[in-house]
Amino acid sequence: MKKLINIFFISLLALTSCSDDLDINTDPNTPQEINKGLALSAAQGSIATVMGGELFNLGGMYAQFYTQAPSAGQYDAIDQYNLDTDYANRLWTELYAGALNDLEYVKDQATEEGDTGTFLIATCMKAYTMQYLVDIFGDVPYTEAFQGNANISPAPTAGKEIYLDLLSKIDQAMASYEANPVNSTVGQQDLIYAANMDQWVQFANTLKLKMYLRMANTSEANSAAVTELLNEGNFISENASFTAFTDATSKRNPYYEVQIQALGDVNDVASNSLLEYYFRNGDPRLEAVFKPNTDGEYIGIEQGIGILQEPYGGYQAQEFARPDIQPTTPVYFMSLPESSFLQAEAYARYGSSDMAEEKYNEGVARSFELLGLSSAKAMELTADGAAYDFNESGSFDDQLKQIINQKWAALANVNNIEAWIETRRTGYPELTTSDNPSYEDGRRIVSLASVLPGDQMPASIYYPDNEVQRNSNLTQKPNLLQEVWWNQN
Amino acid sequence: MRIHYNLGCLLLFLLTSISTFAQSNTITGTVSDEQGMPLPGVNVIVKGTSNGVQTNFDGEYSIKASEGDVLVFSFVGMKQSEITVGSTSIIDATLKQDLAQLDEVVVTAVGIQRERASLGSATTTVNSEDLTRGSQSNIADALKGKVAGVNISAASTDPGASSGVIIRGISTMGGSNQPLYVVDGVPINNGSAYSDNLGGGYDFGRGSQDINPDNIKTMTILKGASATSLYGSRAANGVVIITTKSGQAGKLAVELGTTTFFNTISRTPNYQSTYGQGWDFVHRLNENGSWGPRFDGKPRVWGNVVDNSQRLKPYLFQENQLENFFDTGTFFQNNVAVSGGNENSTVRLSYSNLQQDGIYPTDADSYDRNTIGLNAQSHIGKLKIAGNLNYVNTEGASVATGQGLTVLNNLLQIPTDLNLTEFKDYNNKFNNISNYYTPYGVTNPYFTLNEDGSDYQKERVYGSMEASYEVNDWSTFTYRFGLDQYTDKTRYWTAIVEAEPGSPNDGSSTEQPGSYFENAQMVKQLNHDILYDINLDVSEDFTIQSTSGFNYNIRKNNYMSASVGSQDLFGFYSLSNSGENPQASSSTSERRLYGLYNNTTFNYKDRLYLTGNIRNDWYSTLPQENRSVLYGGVNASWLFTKSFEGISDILNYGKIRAGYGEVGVDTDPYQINPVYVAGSADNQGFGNLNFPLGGVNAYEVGNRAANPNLKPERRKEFEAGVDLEFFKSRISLDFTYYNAKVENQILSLPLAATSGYTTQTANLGQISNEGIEALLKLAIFRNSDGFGWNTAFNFSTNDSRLEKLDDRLNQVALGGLSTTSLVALEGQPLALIQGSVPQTTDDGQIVVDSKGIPIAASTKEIYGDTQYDYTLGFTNEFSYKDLSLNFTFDLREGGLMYSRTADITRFVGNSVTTMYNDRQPFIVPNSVQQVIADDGSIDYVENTTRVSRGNMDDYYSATALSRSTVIDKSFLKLREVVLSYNIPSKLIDKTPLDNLSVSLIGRNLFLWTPESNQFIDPEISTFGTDLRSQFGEFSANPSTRSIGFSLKTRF
Repeated sequence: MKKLINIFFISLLALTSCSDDLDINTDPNTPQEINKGLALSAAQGSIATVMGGELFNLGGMYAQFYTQAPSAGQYDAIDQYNLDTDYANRLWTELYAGALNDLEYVKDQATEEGDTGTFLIATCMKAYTMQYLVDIFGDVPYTEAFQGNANISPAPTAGKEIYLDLLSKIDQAMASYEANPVNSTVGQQDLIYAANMDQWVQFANTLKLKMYLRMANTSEANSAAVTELLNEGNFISENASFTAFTDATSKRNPYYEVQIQALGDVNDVASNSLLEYYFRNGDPRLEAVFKPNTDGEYIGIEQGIGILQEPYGGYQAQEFARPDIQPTTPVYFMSLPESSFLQAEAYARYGSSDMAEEKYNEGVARSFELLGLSSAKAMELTADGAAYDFNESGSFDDQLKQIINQKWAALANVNNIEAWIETRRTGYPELTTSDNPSYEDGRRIVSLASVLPGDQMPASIYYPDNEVQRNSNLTQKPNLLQEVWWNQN
Repeated sequence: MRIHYNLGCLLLFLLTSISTFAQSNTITGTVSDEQGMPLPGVNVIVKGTSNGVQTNFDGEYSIKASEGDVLVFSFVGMKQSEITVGSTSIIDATLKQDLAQLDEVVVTAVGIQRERASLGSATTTVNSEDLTRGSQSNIADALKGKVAGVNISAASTDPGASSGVIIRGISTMGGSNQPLYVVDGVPINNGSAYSDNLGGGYDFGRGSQDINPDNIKTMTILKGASATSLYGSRAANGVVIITTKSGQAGKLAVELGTTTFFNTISRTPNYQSTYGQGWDFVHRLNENGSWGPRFDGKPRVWGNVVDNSQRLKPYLFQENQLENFFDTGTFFQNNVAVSGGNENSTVRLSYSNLQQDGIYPTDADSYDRNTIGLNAQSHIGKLKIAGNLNYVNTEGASVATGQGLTVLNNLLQIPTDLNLTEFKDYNNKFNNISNYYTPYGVTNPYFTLNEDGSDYQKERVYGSMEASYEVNDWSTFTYRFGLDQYTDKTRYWTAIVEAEPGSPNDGSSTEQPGSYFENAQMVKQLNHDILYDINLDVSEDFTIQSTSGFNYNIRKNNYMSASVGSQDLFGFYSLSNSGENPQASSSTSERRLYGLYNNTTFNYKDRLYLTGNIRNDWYSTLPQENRSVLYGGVNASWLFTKSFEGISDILNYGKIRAGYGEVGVDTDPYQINPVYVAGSADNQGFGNLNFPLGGVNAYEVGNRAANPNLKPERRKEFEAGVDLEFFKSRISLDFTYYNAKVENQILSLPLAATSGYTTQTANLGQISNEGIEALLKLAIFRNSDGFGWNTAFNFSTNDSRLEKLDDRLNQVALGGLSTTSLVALEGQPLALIQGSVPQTTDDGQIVVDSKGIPIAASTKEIYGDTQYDYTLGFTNEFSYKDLSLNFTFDLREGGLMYSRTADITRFVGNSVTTMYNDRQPFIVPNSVQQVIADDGSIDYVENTTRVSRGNMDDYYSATALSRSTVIDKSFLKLREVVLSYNIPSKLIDKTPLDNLSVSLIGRNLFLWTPESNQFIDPEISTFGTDLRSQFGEFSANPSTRSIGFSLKTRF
């Protein structure tokens, strides 16, 4: 028995002396601490991936820049207005649990370090992202979100409240920065403006303008705030774009990586809605936005017709023009032409027609420049009596139509989802019947493969299944026809 | 050091064995049983010496001994007999069956040996003869149909692919359900090297298949928690205890075995033979499907026009189209073992070589394995030293499974009228990438077969050493050390697929830039056991056997991988052959475990037994507060035939047993703390955007939330059973009922992304498994004239259920695809297949679209569960003198599986299941169309739209009809047929051979499946061999049937 006792004794000794021996459960493959710069880069990468990938494709279809090719069918459901409830799972997760949660980390760190510059950057990025979530989905979790285990079922916040809160958060962040202008320390880790705070202040102003205009048809319209922004006139002077792509696996433009690299460039082809607009107006952006078919021709098809049997059964995508996105094409968060058109609309709405025209012409010119085309050609098109001549004596509606049509034509391949959201807000380019679309005026049609009744088109998209299943406070919407707050009535 | 010792031991043995040849008289004789049946393999030894032989197949022996020596005859299951050598040189012996035959010794937990009678839980021991009869190279496959309650699934019959073993159902949704493998008292790694990548999966096997079945003496399967709790968490899924052959005392013995198999394809999807190439009922020459017009036998051109020429062939169905693509695979295995020793020391050295080439032409699917094993033991006074060392080297190559440019996916989309062998010359101008007949995401299968590929290399060393000291006559102290270490390297590559500019396939989705992937892994396990055994006879009637011990286990893993998504030079595959920088990743992990345990058996008069287990584990993988876990079990058995000996004429052996046990189960390392991870963004499911980008690196807050309260899973199992043998064991029945629950299931809890996180490792539910296992053996004929017929039925049922699920979760996603998936729901059988169904009206009418094709309902429904209702193994063994015929049927009834082979052959119109109404337009029965008014209200009108011939393909690939891709996985297989002949010893008298046997072996000779399965062998899976494999297959390589022969000899 003595031996037995000895063994137990030895074993117990081994255990007690080795209790530290079991403290090895800290993952050696990941860092224990990171910093706000690393997290900001990651957040910007996430936003760029969603904006330049999934939403770029969805926006491209819904703004009628692209349509589904025959002989393939990856995006039939999109073009048929027949989205599944699980469509948005990935983009939603990437934005909420990826970008936005990282931005919370950046804001917390910046606050702790008194870094008002980085705090402003993170606030702008969050507002920018949240606005798109509201514009695409409607009411979404916001005030109760990002609390981890403390709240695993965040209830949605009304879109209007989110907008107002975002605006006030931007104002607060700008005020703290102005009161104590600490330049952001993240440097090149800011992949948009390399921590140039002047440019971020401009971004904040432009973003605010965009948000106010989105609210222009609601009771929250705020002409005073818009006027103040116009008077200050300090809008972006450089595209807010994510350019850090290289032509290598997992490092390319996200749309290129999926559509062209992974799927073989067989799904998205040019929609006549945009292609014919450029073509019939002699607009050289045709050849910058699209690449020709294998015969060197720019041929598009009617929106949605590729899904139908006739007349293109057996046709392949290469027989049509397709979006010309390259491996390193930047993802534009906000572009100079967009800024110009925002200002043009703001002037048309609240100020002078002259200034509206100036900004309108500037927008067209900047669009040409962004696509690497000569702005002289743009000026030809906007000259008196030319195709894009601004109607300075027209009604506000006439001017709005022109501005939004041009904005639409300028956002193609630049920010497709923005173009779709603006079509919903303004109704431009106008919807027309498919038998005589007269596309040179800037027209859209209802997808010929639509499954929705009448001429209805999606007004928002389903909450993702994953979220609805896991978040007991979020209820799925009955269909795609639910308007977001700024479009209700 | 151990090697030196073993070599020393070998020398020692050789010296002693030489000295034993100095005997004079030769004694011969026959050893038989009570019925007069000769007994082969009986050990005959001259007592007190190392001089020993074994009887041959006729029960005959020949040994040199002097008058006065004592011959000892011993054989498993028989009472030992001793006969003193007198003046006669012929000594026949009759061995009596040991009435307590069941006092047979069984190796149980941590190498503890117990009498079978004392076991209060179901254990099954499979001996060497049964394991090797079918000459399987993989121990899991060798067990198929032989053990009740054990479900063995092979991923495929591809060379070297893994086989999984699941004992008594699924017990965990988050971790592995594979049993723990213990070789000579030491746990070994059983990890699986496979990828279920849908666009290029492979399977290079499991750790357990590095064990050469010919080296195994016995394999014991411990199923219940009451028996397994001694191995702690790792035994929660059962334990497979392997005892390897050790050298036998006696003269130097050499065993040789050789096996050859020829494998052919056993099942291909059943094709329709009426319609050929085309789509929408049009004969398009670039279509990868058979939606064209009806065959007319007339000559028609086919393929692309190249250099103004085009090929011509009759428009006819191609019989055996797929079969013609495949070859006959070969399998060669050779074993040699040398063993011997004296009373105190024995040694055995073995070598095996296996070379397999699969049924794909070329050696793109192949598997080679070499094993070397050395086993030695020696008694030096009260000290026993034993050790074994194994070196295994495997190399394999496999043909990728799945979608995209995989060989099978290319094959399955070829229209039914094209002759595959036409494509063999893939550089021919019609067959090359540029001009192959279709541009639709598939290419020439011969190109893919020859240019894409993979390989696998593994070097493994495992073994153990043990020293035990007899402290006194009732207790022993043992220290045992185990090591298992391997490194492996996996590579796979895809060729550049590029069509010439302007050629028909230029710009098509078939074009690919090539890719190369490589990973290397080092896996290591160290195991220390300190044991103290007590064997006390308290009184004549009462004994105690007790083992106490301490276990320290360390497992480490290092992994590195790199890949590039393009290749520059064609035909050369390397990380450097790319303009891209490789994407690299590496990881390391380590876990440790301490255990302190005791196992004690009380034995009253060799008829009443009570065993108790208790163990405390300390895990490195759990939070400090929950790290220490105490559990145990108790079981009892009553050998009632000893208490009522009057019934022994009818019931010669009867035992009742019952047990209850609990086991704690930890989780993988690094699950509880929050993490920061490398910056990466999910890009639409087709990859990621990965940092660094433009010279900037990124880290982000990981998506897994912390869980400082994680508890171990806890398995609680009750079982009860009887072991009965009637009429001198002519009928025997083992029956067990069990009911197990696994509480606190550790699972990844999906979190709403709006919380900022997407998962948390949490305790979420409870699984139950309830079932019965029955083994009925009948000795129908056992006549002394030599004819024998034994039959065995091996029946089991198991019902796995997800009994409870945390409120935060309404279902557990276990895998599968977006349209069809594998899920678990509270209160439902475990692992259900869920998928899209047609939208119906309140009256159950099917809603169709404007083409007359059913619309998918917005919510998916459960199709059914994936479990077999029951499994039945049926084995017959006929023997007549030296000839025996053994065959096993395997019946599995019930359960569903997804088949992508079904999916794709339906999509392209090749499957015979696409022939509803002979492809003439039809109206979906009982269907309506919906009319939506402008106010959004919905009305239904009777559907009068027929599914047109042009829309037939859309009908068969409609999401609403996904149920058609899920098949009943029931089957009846003629698993194994073995015809053996032992060459009579008189024929080999003049040779040095002691015995020689020849077997003719067939495997998977017949397969019957239900009507709904027109596609595949339902045993195959591309999702590994654990829970996820229940989902089914994603274009798995076809299974094979084998015919071969083996030759075994001994001298």
